[in-house]
Amino acid sequence: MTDALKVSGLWVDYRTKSAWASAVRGVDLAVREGEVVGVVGESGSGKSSVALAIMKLLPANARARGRVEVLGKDMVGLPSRDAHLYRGSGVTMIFQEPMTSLNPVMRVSEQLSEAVLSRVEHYKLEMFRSDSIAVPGGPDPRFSMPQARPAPPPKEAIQALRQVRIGDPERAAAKYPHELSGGERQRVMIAMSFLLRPRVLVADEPTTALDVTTQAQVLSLLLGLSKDEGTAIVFVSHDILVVGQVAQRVAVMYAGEIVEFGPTEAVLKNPLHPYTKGLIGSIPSGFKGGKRIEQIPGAPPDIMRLPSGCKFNPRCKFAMDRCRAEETALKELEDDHFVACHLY
Amino acid sequence: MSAEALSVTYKVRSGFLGSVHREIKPVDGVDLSVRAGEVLTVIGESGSGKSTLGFALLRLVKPSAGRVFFSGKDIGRLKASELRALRRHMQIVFQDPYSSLDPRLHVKDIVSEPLIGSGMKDQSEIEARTARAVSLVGLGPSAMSKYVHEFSGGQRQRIGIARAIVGDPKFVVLDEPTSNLDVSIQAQILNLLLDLQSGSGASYLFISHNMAVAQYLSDRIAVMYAGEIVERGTAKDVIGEPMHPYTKDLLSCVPTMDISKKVTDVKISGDPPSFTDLPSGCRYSNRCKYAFDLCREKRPALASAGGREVACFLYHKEEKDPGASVR
Repeated sequence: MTDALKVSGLWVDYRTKSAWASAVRGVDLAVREGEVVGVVGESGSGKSSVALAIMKLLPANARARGRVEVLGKDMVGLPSRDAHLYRGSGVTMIFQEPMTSLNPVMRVSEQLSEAVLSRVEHYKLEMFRSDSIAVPGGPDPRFSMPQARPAPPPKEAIQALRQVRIGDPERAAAKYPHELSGGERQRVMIAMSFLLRPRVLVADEPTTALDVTTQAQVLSLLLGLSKDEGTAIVFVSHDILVVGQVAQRVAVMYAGEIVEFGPTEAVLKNPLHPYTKGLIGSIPSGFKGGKRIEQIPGAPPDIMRLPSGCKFNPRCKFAMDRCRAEETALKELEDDHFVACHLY
Repeated sequence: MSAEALSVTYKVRSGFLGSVHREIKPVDGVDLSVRAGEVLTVIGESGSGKSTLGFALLRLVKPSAGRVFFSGKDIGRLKASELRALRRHMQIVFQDPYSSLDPRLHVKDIVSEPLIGSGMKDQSEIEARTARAVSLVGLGPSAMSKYVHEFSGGQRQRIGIARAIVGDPKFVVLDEPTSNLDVSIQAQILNLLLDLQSGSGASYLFISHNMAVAQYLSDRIAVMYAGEIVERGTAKDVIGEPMHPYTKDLLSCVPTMDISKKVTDVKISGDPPSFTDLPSGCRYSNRCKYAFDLCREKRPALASAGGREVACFLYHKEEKDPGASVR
């Protein structure tokens, strides 16, 4: 299987009054076609910055360094005015709060039609057919944008709504986003992804705002997208158990670095990094009066004041002198299971 | 703390310029009692009415029907001043530690408010109790004269907890106090709550959508769906051997460490109903895979079965007039 997405040596820095603060520091990540890779971390771990860098959607006060290759083409070096060529059928994103990513004054059907048109335009450019990857510079996309919108919702849009199991898709298509429930809105976003047939989908906490029953439905739809369309999915979440449900491999991020990376089952059942162990240990389990859950002392570091050496050392119960002096790097300890820790 | 046939009604407007008036009942005829020294968790999805129930018990919203008793007094019959004096003994910790703490006040002023509000005048006692509450939740004395913006989310929630426990309350409502926190911080807060509860012997009503958290904290669990309690019993019974089809479905959707158990294989159709458009009969009947004719005709009442209470005709089909016993 080829890598649909390959991130290497990615740094994301944010400009502050005095200096650049690095939220992501040297992340490597590869996602194969049809694979789901989870990125787990707490707030401030840099996981969302990785997602935005892949989408080329970082805010103006941020810069990305390194390489983000989608089907072999680097996106970091791509000028911003050409970025729309990649978004859509190349890479697409699902956000935590679907209300803010849908247009409130457009009917669902119109927004889905846009996705269809955008895909058609992308295919004209032949950029994202895996058999023929063209370089931008061919037909100028600014002159080939759609001229008019089709009035009735195309069959394809209705079909996509049916695919994401929205009851009565014709009625839902005629509605505005605010008339739908949170779960329905997230399903509309996924319907859009079905229509775009992206090579890479970045899902940033797509189920965090949803109830567990709706979450289960949305997770199964995303799995369907990766299986049926071969979409490579980067699933970003704070919840390692949710990631465990969908991802084949999982990366654990702490303070801007991947500290552990491996097959989901290995990471969940046999975590190696003390942070991963602590994360899994702090999941509530058992009944009242039973075993107390472990807690990681302290809080994640401020990226402006990172500790020297291993970034986890002030909270780690195994920390040695070497951890305070020397940076860590990912090492392969078992088959495909990497950890960045001086203990190993 | 107990409630009898408690209902809360909200008026909603819809249609052109709000011309259509309708009433919804997010809490519909709930009987509930929280025993002394226990943690009872009300679990439910968004829109199940669980937070409204918590607010109604504390009279933060006015119930439309039913009565609430606190230490034997019907709090609906108290004068405003009597209720205010009682407030310090029945407290709440809110979900969002950002919007529920006044950004213009020092921590010591936030934490001491329930004491001052209940009419305590003795400055030295107020200071001593405030300092004790702040240290009980694990914050240093230097926190007292800081503003909330200087704290992280987890520390803010500790301030919210300090405010709730400062008057040694007998009853505390905790409305999803950890749902906005990272798991490692959540673990710290959950252990803190367990310690505070067992140390004080107070009763806690914990409101949550998180099964694992509910299981970890509670003695008893009440499962709420569309404004009603559908199952109630000890945590071990309800989580370990759920009986109501909704409780079963809900539990099957919760991801666990056992990744071979796929929540993505669970087939639950549809969304929770809207209060303006409730199904007739049992409110879960339109999503329940066991539903039969009776379920669509009559509302099942909460009645004992299998060592707990459950509102489902699968367990007491012979009920004569279930609608009447719900009232």
